[in-house]
Amino acid sequence: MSYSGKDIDPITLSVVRGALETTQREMTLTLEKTARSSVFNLAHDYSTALFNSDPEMILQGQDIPIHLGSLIPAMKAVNKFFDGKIYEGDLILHNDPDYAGSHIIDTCMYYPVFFKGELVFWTVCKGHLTDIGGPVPAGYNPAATEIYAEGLRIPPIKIWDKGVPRDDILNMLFTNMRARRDQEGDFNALIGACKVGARNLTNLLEKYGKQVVLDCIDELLAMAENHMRSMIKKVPDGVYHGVATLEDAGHGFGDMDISAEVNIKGDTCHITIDSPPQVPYFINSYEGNSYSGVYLGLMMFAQLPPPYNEGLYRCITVDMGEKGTLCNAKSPAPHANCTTTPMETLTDAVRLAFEQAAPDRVSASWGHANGCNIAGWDTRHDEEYVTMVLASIISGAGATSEQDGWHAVGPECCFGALTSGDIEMLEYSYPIIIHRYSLMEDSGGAGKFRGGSGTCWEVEPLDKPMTMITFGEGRRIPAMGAGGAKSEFVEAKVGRLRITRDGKEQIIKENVIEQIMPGEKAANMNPGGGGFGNPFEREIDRVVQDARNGLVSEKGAKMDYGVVFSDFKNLQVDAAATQALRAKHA
Amino acid sequence: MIRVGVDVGGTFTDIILENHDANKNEVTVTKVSSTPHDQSEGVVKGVLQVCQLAGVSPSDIDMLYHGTTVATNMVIERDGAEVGMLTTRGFRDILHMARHKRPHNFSLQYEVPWQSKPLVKRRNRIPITERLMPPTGEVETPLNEDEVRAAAELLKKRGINSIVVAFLFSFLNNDHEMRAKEIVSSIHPDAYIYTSSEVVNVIREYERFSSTAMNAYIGPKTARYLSNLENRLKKEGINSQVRIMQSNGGISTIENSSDRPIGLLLSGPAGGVIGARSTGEYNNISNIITIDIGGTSADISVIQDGNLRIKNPRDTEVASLPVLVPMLDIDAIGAGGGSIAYIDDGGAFRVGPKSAGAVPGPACYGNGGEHPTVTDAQVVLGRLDQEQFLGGDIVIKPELAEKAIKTHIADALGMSVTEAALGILKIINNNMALAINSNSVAKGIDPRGFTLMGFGGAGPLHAVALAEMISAKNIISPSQPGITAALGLLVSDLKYEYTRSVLIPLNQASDNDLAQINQIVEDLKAEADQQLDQDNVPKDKRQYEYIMECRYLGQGFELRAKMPNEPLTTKNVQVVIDNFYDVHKQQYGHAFKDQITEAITVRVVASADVEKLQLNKLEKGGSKNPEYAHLYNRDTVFDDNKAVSTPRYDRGKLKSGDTISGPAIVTQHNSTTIIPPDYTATILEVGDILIEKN
Repeated sequence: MSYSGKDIDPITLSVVRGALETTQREMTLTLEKTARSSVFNLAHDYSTALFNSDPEMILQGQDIPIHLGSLIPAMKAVNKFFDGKIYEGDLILHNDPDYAGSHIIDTCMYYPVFFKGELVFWTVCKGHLTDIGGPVPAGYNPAATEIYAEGLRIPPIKIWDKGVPRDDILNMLFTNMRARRDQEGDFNALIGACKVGARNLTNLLEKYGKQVVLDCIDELLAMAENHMRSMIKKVPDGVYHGVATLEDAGHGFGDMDISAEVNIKGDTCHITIDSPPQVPYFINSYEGNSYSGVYLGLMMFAQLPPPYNEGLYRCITVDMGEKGTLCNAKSPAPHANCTTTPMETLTDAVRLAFEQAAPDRVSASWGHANGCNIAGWDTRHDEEYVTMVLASIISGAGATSEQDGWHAVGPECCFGALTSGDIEMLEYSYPIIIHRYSLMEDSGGAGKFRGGSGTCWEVEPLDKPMTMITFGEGRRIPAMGAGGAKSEFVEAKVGRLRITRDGKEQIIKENVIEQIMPGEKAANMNPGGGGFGNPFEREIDRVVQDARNGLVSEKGAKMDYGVVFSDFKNLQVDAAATQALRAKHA
Repeated sequence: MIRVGVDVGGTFTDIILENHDANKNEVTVTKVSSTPHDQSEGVVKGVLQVCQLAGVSPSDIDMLYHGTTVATNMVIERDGAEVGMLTTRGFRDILHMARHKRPHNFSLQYEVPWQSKPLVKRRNRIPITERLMPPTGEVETPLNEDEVRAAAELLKKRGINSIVVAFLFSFLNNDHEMRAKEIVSSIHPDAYIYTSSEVVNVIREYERFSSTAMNAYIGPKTARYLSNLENRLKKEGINSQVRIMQSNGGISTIENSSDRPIGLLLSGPAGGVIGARSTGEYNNISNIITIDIGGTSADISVIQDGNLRIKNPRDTEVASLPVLVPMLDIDAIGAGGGSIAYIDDGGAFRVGPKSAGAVPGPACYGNGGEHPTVTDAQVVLGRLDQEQFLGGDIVIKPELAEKAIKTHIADALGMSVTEAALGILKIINNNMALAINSNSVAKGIDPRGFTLMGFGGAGPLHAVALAEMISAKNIISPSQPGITAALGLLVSDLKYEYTRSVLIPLNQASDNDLAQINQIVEDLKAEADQQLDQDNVPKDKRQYEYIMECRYLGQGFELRAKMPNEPLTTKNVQVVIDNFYDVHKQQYGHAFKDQITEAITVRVVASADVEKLQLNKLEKGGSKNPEYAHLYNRDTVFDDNKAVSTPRYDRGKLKSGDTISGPAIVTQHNSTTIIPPDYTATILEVGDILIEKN
C-alpha cells in the first residue's frame, strides 16, 4: 500500500515529513534573519534544500524556483568531484556553471551531515551575493564576451576542512569581491543555515534511527513521483510544441527562438529543447541552469501539492539540445543574466508546449525580469556600495483560467518567492532617493482574466554619480497570454528604462551601463503578466472596477477590452459603443 | 475588593469573580454562551450571572478585566471599516504590493489576501506631494496642503470616516503627518484619523503603513464596541473601572484600547499564557511550555524563568498582515478538538488544519458533521465520556464518531477503527509537538527542564502525550483548564509600551549619539508617566524596562537587547552590545564579536503591578486513589492500543496531596484530564494537578 513498496507506518511518515519541513524552514529563517546584504535579508534571493547521500534531493524549499532545479545536478557534480573524499566537518563552496551552478553570483554551500561516522545527508543553501568580483560591480557585465570577464569562477572547494575553517582560502575569495563586509556576513548566514539544518537532521536520526528515517524519505520520494506520474497520465499522449521568442536586448544578434518539444507517453514525459548557438553576450545558460527553466515550466503546469523533491522528476527526461547552444552553453560562454534571460523564455517555451496539451490548465506567462544593479560611492560612510535592486524586477503574474493575475509578485523566474526591500531601509542603506515604487496603469496583460500589473521603481543618486547596469528583456515583447488572450495596448505592458536628464525623458530598451548624475532620475519599469482568454469577453463591470482603481486607463479600456466610456471621470460606460466595438472583435 | 475577569471565546464567554478582603476570599466562576453579533451582550449577561452566583451586587464590582476577540474577528472575517489613506506621492501601492511573496509555491489557485481584500482599496489611497529624507527627517519636498484638502474633501464625499495618514520617514519627523491630520480633521471633523507615526513610530514603510491601516480598519468598530460595553455596564449599575487585555500581556484602559485597537489582536490568547504563568507561580514552577487547545486552534507559548516571551517585531502578524505591536510570542496552529482527519489526494493520512468548527462540529455532536475529528477519536477510544462532556451540556453520540472514522479513515487505510483513532491523535499530537519544538528547541530551549501546561477545554486530554513527545519534565493540568484565560485576566499587570527609531551604530557611538538615545528614553518615559498618571498609579508602584532593538550593521532584522537602567555612556554601552550578542546566539546559533551592533529602535515598557488573584487552598487530603472522588470505571484505550478498565474521578472532590495512579481520568465541567498508565498525578495546594512519569 505504500508507494515505495516498503512497510511504512503512515504515522511515523507524517512525523518524519514534518521534521524535514521544519528543518528546511529553520534554515530559511536563519538565512533571512542573519544575512547582511539587502539582496539576502530584504529580497530573500536564496534557497535551501536537503539531499540524501546518493545524493538525491529529498526536500526542496519553498524558495526561488530558478535556484532549485539546478541544485539537483550541482549537488551531484560536487559529490562526483570529491569522489568519496568527504569528511565530517567539511563545508564545500561552489558557484561555477561547469559544475551545474546557475550564474556565478549565486553561491552554493554544501554541508555533509554525518551520523555515527557515516555520511547520511547534505544540507545545502544557495544565495545571490551582491558581488563576485570582475570588472563590473554586482556581476552583470553586458560587455562581457567570456565568463572570465564576469567575475570569480569557483569550482567545488572546501572552505572548511574537517571542521577547520580555511581562512586563507576565504580571505582570497573576499579579497576578490567588492563590499567585503556584506559578503562575509552573507557567507556566515549561509554557513549558519547549513549548520542549523544539520543539527535538526541529526536529532531526527537519533530519535528514530537511520533506517526508519531513510525508509520514510524513500516513501516521500515515491509519493512525489506518483503525484507527477498521475498528473502526466491525465495529459493525452502526444508530441506538443512550444516556441517562444527571446528579444534582442541590445546585443545585435537579433531575436532568437527557443523551442520545446514535449513528448507524453503514458506516465512519462520527455522534453527536448532546441535553441540557437551560444552568443558572446551574457545571456547563455549552462545546462544546470536550464534544468531550472524547464522544471519551472513543468511545475507551473503541474501545480502539484507537496512534497517537493527529486521524485517529481523521475518520470521526466530532458534533452537540453546540442552543447554550445544558448540553453546548453559551454565554457567560456558569458552567462551572468541566465537566471532570468534566457531562462524565462525557455520556461515559456515549455509552458506553451503544455498549453497545447491541456489549454485550461496553464497560467499565462508572468512578466519577465528587466532590472538594474546600482553601484557607486557612499560619502556618508566613505565606502563603495553595490547591490542588485530586487525591487526593480518586480513584474506582474500571469492570469489563469479562473482568476486575474496577482500584481507585483513576479518575475517569472522567481514565481513569487522573492520579497522586495523597504524604501526606507534602501534609502538608509544606500545614498539614493527613490521617487516612485508603485503599480503601472495598463501594464497587466489583457484577457478575460487580466494579468497582474508590473511596477515602476524610480531612483536618483544623492550626491555622487551612480552606475546603473541594466539586464533582462521583455521591453518589446510583452508577457505572453494564454487561452487566446492578446493585448492591443502593448506599449504600456512592456518593460523599459526611462532616464530624465535636463528635463528631457529618454526611453532605453537595451541592456546598458549608464552613469546617473545627482539631479537625474532613472525609472526602471517592469512588465505586467499575461492575460487569459479573450479580453473582449471580460465582464464590463470588471473593466470598470479596474478603471476605478486606476489599473486601466480610458485608452486601455477601449483598446484592450473594447469598453468605451461616455464619461470616464464618472465611469459611465457607453453601452452602445461598447457593444459595437466588442462585436467587431467577436 | 471585588474583581471580575471576562474572557470571550468563539463558543463560550468565561467569567471569574474574586471577592477578597481581610475576612474572606471567594472565587466564583461561570460561563455563558458568547454573542458574536455583539460580544458585550454576553459579557454583561455573564457578569450579572456571576454576581448572582457570588451573592454580590453588580454595583460593588471594583475592577472589571476583559479579554476580547472583537478586533481579531474583524480582521479574520474582514468586516472592518472602509478606510481612506493619504500617502507619499509615488508610493500609493505599498499596501498592495506588500512584500511580493505569495503564500504557496507552485500553486496558482489561491487568493493573496493583501490584494484580494486590501485594508484600503487602491481608489481610496490618495497620493500627496511631500517628501522627507533620512537619516534626519529633513524636508526634501514640503507638504502640499492643497492636495491634502482636496483628498479630505474627496474621502468625505465618498462617505469614508476612517482615514490613515502615512508618509515615508515620518518616524524621523512627523510634522507632515500631524499637519495633514489637522487639515483633514478641520474638513472632516467626524472622521477617525490615524497617523502612522502615532500608531507605530518605527522604520519600514510597509509594516508601518499596514499596521496603521489595520488600526484604522478595526478602529471605529472597536471603539464603538468598547463604548457600548461601557454603556451597557453602566446601565446595569456597574460603574467599576474597565481594563482590556493587550496582545503584550499587559492591560490597558478603554480609551487607549480604542485609539490603538491593533494592541488587542492577541487579547484573547494572551490571558491564557498569563493564567498559566500565575498557576506556575503558585506552585513554584517558573519554566513552562503552555498549550491552550480549543476547538479549532492550539496556542503555544513558552515561559522562561517566570518571564513571558515577547515576539520580535517584524515577526508579528495577524491573518497574514503585519502588525507592528508588541505581542506575546504565541504560535497558533490549526489543531484542536474540531480538527478534521482525512486522506489527501496523494494518499497521505492528515489531520487539520481544517476544522469542523462549532457548527456542524465533530461528527459525534450529531449536528450533521460527517468528517471525523480529533474529538471523535477521543470518544471512540473511550477518553471522553458521553455524560461528562461539558457536564452533559452537549450530548454526544459515540456511534456517529465511530462511523465517521471508519468511513473516512479506517476503511481507506485498511486498519481498525481503534487504530485509526489512535493514528488521528498521534498525528495531531505530532503536529502540535513540532509547533512546540519550533517555539522552544529551535530557539535554544531544552524542554527537559520545562513543565508542559495544557489548558483550554482540550488541553489536559493531550498534555501527557505531548509532554512525552517533546520530553518535557512533567505536566500540569491547572485547576480550571477551561477558564485559564479568564483567570489570567485577574493576574495581569497594567502595561504600556512606547517606541522610537534611532538608527545609531553603537560601537562607534559618540557622546552626542548617546545623548540623543538618552533623550529619547526620557521622552518615552515621560509619555508613559503621563498615561500612568491618568490611571492613578502611584509613582512608587511604577516599573520601567528599557529595551534596545538591535541588529548587526546591514542585517534586515532586529532582536531585543536589554538596556541598563541608567543613562547610556561610552562605558556602559558595551552592556547593550553584549546583551545583543547573547540573544543573537541563542536565537540563531551564532553571533559576532567583531561586527558593529546597530541600534534601530528604543522601547520603553512601563508597568504597574495590580493586586493578584488569591485562590483558596483545598482541604488537605493525602489519600492514594481516593475512593471519595471515584465515580465509576469504564474501558479506555491508551496509546498501546489496549482497552483497560479505567477509573473516573470527580475533580471537585479531590483534596490536596491526594495521588492518583494511571490509568485514570479526572473529569470536571470544563475539561477532562487524562492520566495514562505509568503516570502518577498529585493534587496540589489550590487544585492544580501535577502529572509525572513513574
